[in-house]
Amino acid sequence: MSSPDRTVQVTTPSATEIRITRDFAFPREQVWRAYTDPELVARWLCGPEGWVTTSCEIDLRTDGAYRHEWRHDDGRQMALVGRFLEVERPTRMVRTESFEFGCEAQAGEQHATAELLEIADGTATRVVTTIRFPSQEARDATLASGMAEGIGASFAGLETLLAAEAHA
Amino acid sequence: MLNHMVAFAPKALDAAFQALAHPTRRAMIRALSAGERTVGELAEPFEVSLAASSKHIQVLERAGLVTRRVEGRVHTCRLEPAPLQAVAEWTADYRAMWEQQFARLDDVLAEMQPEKLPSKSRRARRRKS
Repeated sequence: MSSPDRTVQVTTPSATEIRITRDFAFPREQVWRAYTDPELVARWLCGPEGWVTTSCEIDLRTDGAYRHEWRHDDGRQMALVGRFLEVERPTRMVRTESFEFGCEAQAGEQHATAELLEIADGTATRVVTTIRFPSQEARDATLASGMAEGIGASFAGLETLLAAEAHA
Repeated sequence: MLNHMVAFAPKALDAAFQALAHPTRRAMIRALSAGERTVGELAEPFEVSLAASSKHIQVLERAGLVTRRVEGRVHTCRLEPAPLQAVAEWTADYRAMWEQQFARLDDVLAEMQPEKLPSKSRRARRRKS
């Protein structure tokens, strides 16, 4: 039995994937709603630093489309768009993801799977998001994005990653 | 200083990621993070030949994650922190973005009224601000 761990684990299960795992101290149905109701999603899917959500549309069904839009302080616009490949309430959703910057679609589409697992006798939920990129290069570029220079050395991230292995 | 230079070179990062891309090697790194181990001690928990374990240790050495010293017939391995530091820094900001989003999701969840009935419509809805 596991108890909710609110640290975010970021792992690389293969050369083209990133896996993000995080526990929430709320029942799965509630987490599913927060993940799929566009009014709720708009309140937390803030994107990287400096970006603000401007709109959020979700048509939650197989082949349904979704679109999140953000605006940066400096006026730039960005959107995350795609369609759902699988929707299995409240346990799993699979969707494509691609980014648009301004009016330009960025080349390359990601494939994202979110799995919601009940833990702690159903009082909590583990969300495991696995994003598959078209190439290792695209995956690595995403991991490196936003990296500030001159950060002091820290083992904390890797300790978390290795600790997650021990609990897997 | 050499370790610092190695840590920030892209090829060194490749080697570190490749070294980490195997559960046996990750287990060895965890063992070494608690202190030095001989090659025999590192190999002991695994149900493969000593030769197979030695190959894993060599991958770790080529990535600069492990150094060994030889005293007679005893080979003792030690974890070298610099490549791990580079990997940890490199993933830090991506994780930080998710941490921020999930912290906000925690707040949204705390404010929601728990509903028993799955009453929400599945049709497209729009929120503009």
